[in-house]
Amino acid sequence: MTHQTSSGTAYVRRPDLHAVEMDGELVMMGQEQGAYFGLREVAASIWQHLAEPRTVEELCDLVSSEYDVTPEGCRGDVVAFLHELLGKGLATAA
Amino acid sequence: MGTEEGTDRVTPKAVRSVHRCYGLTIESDILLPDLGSTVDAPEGGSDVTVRLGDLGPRPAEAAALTLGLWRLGDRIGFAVPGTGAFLVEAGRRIVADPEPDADPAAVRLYVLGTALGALMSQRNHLVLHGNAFRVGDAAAVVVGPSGAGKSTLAAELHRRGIEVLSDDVVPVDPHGRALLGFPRIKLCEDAADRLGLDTTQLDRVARSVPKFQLPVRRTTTDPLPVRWVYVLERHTGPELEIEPASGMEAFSLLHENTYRNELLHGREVLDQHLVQCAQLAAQARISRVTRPVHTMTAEATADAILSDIAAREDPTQESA
Repeated sequence: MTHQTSSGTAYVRRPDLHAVEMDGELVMMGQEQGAYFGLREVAASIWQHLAEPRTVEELCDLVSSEYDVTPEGCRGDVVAFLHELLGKGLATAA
Repeated sequence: MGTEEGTDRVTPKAVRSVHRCYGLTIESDILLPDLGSTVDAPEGGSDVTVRLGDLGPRPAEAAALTLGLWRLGDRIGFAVPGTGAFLVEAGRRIVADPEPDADPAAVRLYVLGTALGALMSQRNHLVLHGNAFRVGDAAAVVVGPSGAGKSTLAAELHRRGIEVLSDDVVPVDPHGRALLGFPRIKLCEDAADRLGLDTTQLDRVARSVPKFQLPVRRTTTDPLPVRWVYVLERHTGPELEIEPASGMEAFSLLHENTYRNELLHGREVLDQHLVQCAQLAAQARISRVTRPVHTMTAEATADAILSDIAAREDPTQESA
């Protein structure tokens, strides 16, 4: 199943996933019990922002305000990461 | 609840001895010489009871885990063919239902190992599979899979006059402190031979377990904060290497080396475990000790770990 992101749609992370910070990395368990993964840097930052519904455009603006990159320059990576989160059921369209 | 009634087997003039272990008083129907001398029964009852009783089969609604383990709410159970069935409840009660011909030493082994380890996890402890030794006012923990050489290393450290705090099971309390385990190290014959110990002078762990008990003396009485965790691994390269781990990798190492990690089941339990691991990683330096598979010795491993500790006397100062 593929997940499309479209501009204008807001996305939000699942509220019930418990993440802990370990040495600057966010470690959490996904939907499936016992399946863990870690998020660093930009990915961790996007995850934090997704606590509230965000559109792709908003996320790109936030990332470019925190990292040395333009909104257009990070858009590809932001969309790819969002696809990953949607694919794993860790975020949904708000 | 369901286990309360009918489980207390009528024991004529029950031998109930009280021991101290992991900072708890344990009142037991079974003699537990591994825990050292008995203590007076505390007023107001013991923290933990170990009873003999009849246990039925695993409840149908329980989550069946590997190795005959199951978990349902605040109950954990397991069955060991040839030895018996065991139930651990709410961090307070252990019930043992031995098979008629069970070796009493094997029953004790499961009560003090898997059952007490599960009980400590119910008491919100992160229970690691390994041993701990004292470094100043702190503890270093060595973990690794069975057969990695943890106990042999503990015996080598003991031989050098280092205080071994526990062997096989290390409960870490909610303040990140390693509790003191039983005053002995379990060694296989091979390891005892290599360390020059005469196994005819040592007690055997159980009929079915070809391991021997090496008693260790301790002067430490209180739990000590864990500052180092070393994970024993092996590789085919020529050198022994010690490399620090962080983040997700550190978590995976702690997860793999959590005692009976098959019991980590259910979102609440898993979330609690994740938080415990993060807390430990925040205060302790977690490192992989990768040893060459053909030439590794307890001496070389002890040398490497002790010099790694000496090189960073207090890891809490480092990131400050």
